[in-house]
Amino acid sequence: MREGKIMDQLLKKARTGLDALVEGGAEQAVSSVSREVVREINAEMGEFTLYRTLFKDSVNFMAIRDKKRGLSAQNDVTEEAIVKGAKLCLEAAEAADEDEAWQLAPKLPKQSFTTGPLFCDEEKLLSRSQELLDDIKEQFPNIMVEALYATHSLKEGVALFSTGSEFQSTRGAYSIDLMFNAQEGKKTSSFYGSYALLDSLDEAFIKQGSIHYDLEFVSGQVHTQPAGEKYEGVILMTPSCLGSFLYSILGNFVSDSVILDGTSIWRDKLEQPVADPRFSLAIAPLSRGMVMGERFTPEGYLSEDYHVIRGGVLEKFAISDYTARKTGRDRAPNNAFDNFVVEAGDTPLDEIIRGIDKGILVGRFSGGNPGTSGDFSGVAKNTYLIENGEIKHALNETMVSGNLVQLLTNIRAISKEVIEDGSSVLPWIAFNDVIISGK
Amino acid sequence: MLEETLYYYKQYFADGAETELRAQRNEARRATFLCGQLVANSSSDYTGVSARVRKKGVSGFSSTGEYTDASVRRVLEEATSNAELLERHAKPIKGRLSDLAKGLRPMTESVGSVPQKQYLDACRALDQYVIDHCPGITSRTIVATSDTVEKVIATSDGYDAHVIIPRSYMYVIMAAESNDGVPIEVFNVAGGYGSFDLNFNFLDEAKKVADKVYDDLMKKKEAVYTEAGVKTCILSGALAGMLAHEAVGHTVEADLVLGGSVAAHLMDQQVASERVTMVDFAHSAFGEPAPLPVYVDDEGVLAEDAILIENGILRSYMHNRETADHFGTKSLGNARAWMYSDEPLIRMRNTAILPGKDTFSDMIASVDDGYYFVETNNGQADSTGEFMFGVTVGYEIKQGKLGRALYDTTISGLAFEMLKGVDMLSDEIEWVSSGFCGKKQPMPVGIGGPHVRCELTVGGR
Repeated sequence: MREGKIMDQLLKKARTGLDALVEGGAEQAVSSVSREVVREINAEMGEFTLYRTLFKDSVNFMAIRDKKRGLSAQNDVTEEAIVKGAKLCLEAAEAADEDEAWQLAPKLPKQSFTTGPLFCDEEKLLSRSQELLDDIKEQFPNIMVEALYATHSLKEGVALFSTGSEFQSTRGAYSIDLMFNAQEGKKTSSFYGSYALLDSLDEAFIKQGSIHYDLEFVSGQVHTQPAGEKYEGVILMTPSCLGSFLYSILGNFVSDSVILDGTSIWRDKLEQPVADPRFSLAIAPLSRGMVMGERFTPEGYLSEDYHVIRGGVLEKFAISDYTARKTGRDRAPNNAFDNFVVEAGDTPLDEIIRGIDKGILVGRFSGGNPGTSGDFSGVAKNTYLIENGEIKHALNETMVSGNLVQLLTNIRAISKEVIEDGSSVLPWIAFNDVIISGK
Repeated sequence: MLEETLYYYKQYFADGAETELRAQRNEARRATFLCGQLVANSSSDYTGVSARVRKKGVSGFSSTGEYTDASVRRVLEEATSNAELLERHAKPIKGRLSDLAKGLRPMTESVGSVPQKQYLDACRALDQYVIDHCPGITSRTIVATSDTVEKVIATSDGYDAHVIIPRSYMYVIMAAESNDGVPIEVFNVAGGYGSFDLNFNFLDEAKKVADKVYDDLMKKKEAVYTEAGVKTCILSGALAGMLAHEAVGHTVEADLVLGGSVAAHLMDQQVASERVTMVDFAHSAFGEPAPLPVYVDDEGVLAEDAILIENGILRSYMHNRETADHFGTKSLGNARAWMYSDEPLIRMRNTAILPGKDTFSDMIASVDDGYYFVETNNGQADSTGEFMFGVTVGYEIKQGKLGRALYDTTISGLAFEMLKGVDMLSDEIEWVSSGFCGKKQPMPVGIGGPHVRCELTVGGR
């Protein structure tokens, strides 16, 4: 009953906004109103410090008037403020330039999405958090938990389109977010973060995502040695490190801005090989295990999973409907730009390591923002030396450099194991011919 | 502007608890033109109220996006209830925090809203300037943006205050291909403290920035790659500021010190060359307003400068009330929150390395074989003090003279080792205030410094 009542209120507010936009002259318009309740437990240095409850309202407007588009966002949901916000959005549109590429999707039947845990079990969230702190103390005594955030979020929302489409969503999720390092005496490892998005509290937090692997990984990194002379070697990326590289690759080669301005190196590579044939990358918000994946795009299309790269071949650009219209290409079937799924390989991780003569296992990469050339260089953090098929010791001040385009064609092995953390499914990948150097 | 009715609700603060009540408004505007096409045209306004209640060492917090009588009472009740819930699970129990100076800091500034059209018109004018004056580029992006944060703060223990920080900027980004066929890009930013209409009533400064971006980009067409290894480098003030903030500043935030940062064992020790003094300025620096002035923080602490490093010696950490008590010192006003729904965290304000006595020309002349690094797009650091900055504009220095431009590269080092090797500091300071620091929440910060001569590890092919 309570949920239904809130949804009715949201619907009424969204309708007020849409009416104000249309009556103000918008030929096409979107009015979205949502309410989110977040409950968050904070611990610092292994002790509870803060418990937060946040009540967040959100109103988002889009209006196209005379082919000119404006956007506005606010959190005041009173009727007066909604009408005022719609006016602001129309003013923004009026000041814009004409552009026929801004279009909404055709009308769809009414859609309703309900996912995840809608009720927050506060006591369980607290006990799971305490259990994680206790597990860490017991299993990894040299780990210092700088911060822990255990959260439940419930978001209810309505999006009304002037085309007649209507999307309602009620979505809940838990998450666990850890920041930690390892310490022995005055020596400290680099810090590390571990995160998982969850649809239940059924299992201990330490078993979620890569949390246990990450704690074990970092606990051995207090004592480090220099990486030594420059050499061309193998870089084996953890799933977390791989994820950050994938953002750079997609941002520089297949995203809106680089396709729109034509600076992408891959602009003419559609349906051509751009990666090792074993490499497939999907953006898959609907796939199993994605906890809060996108269900519809800002233009009003239903989201679908798709492959950016399949079998090494570039299949699709990750571009919006607007960029697609501007450049005469196909829009991406969703607007997610996360929820990466990289297909697992057939080699066990241990076997990959055994096959590396000299290289590094990297947990985190601290690099600049690689540009459209794809060149990257930066510091490999939370890194181990691999020599003669064995993980030897942790490294400090290790620089790595290479090129993102070449990286994808230099894949040595993809692990059979993957990490699922509720927002991505990623394996370990080893890449050949990366330049590695110490101080 | 926010109403100051918040002070009225102090009568409802729970006895024996430390309470902060905050009403806040964040207003942001953004327009982006990519190659003349308007690709972003947005505004956002978020207002709300929050309460944080501390009892026996643990805190409850609650916020809501309304600023009404009912919502203020609700967040106070909810925050108290949250503190009590956590109290049942917390250990150990702690006492009250040290007393603070009390008072009222009234509003002294006034900032109005600027119509979206003004942002778009400024972008169009600057875009036309780039078209007219910058031939041979492959892509251009103009961004006009502003954010204004207004707060009314009522506290049980400290100062009450009504404060506002407006800032506005125009970004110019240009791309081209180098003579070797490599895509290259340069960006820079004009603006600072103040509303958009005041900062960009005339576009003279923004046009100068566009000229500089174009000049750097044309030089970058003949760029060479850096040689990897340890090199003698001159850092610009922007990079010195990044160093002060990322590599040193974060390691001396007391919450990260407690988490085991490298600075935990270095208090009162030599951590830098004696030429180096570093300060986190509150609201004024060198007799002028600091780039983003903070007068009272979100715990009601009257803000003062924090001298972090004095003549090379580590002198203090940055604190909130809790950590100040832990370390037996006083908070100088570093506890700040980004949105109404955020709790105050220890954050920097305007962090800078102080200028020295050398001239920039003497510094360049002093380097036989090294690099001058000018602009950065990114900086990250570790609690170990290990840092990495992305460099987007830089030049060779050969036999005391500036040489060819450089392709994008990265520089890295260990902050407290690298600072010990600083042997020249220029006699001027450059401030940058357009960025956000990221630490659970974003936060606008000022960073600054003089030109710095030092040894750094440079990335390269």
